Amino acid sequence: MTTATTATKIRSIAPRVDVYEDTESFTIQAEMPGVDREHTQIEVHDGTLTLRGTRTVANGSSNIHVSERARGEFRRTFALGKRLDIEKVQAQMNDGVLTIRLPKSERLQRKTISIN
Amino acid sequence: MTLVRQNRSEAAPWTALREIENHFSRFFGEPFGLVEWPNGGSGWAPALDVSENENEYVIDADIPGVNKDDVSLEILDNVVTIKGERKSEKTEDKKGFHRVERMYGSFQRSVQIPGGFKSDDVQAKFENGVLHITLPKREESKPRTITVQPN
Repeated sequence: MTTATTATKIRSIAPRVDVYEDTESFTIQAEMPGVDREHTQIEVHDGTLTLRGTRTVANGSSNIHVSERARGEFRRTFALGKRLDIEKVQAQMNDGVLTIRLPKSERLQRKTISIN
Repeated sequence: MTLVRQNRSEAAPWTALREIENHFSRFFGEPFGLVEWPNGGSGWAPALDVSENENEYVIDADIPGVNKDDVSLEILDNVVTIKGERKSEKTEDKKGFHRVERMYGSFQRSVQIPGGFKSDDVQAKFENGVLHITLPKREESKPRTITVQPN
């Protein structure tokens, strides 16, 4: 996986991400506090993974004093390369952090062969 | 942290607080609002929304990936302080980082609530990475309607 590209739309917001790799997979962790699973979309297409969605921040009709939390549409795209098994991509939302696990293709995984 | 000035005569207390924070190089408008905190480069500060309605003040703080047990709320006079720590979940077997944008370590932020609140009735809920705090108003802080008497 090459490094991520950032959101291109000027007005869109982009969640912060960590991307790391271990022997079996790549993992993307994106901070999306207060975003529902239903409002999040992960799209794998043409060698890229796009994470998009909408973040709504409920304030009702109340009087707002401080408003720092980003709201609106967000989008981030990552270039995947060809070394991944995209059929086995898994995603999970936990405490406002979305974890996407992208397993490497079998042939890329390091294997240890013991000598008899 | 001595970020909050206890100045009751301040005309616009919310603005005042933000000015103090700007003074500490806070940067607004970051994606999802997580910012560097200038305490030796090791801290960060969650983005906040503060609002009020007729009966209560509401503070929402974005603290994704922080364990509920690692967050605490302190109340002193009219000041609410949220503090905690985001622990790194990285383990030894991680081979390489391609990108690290998320911030780890301790965080702390204070909000001064003008007019005060019932500190015994403050409630906090942590859901989906958002800490939602409700601070019920004291009777004297609630809006009152005064009827003008006829002569």
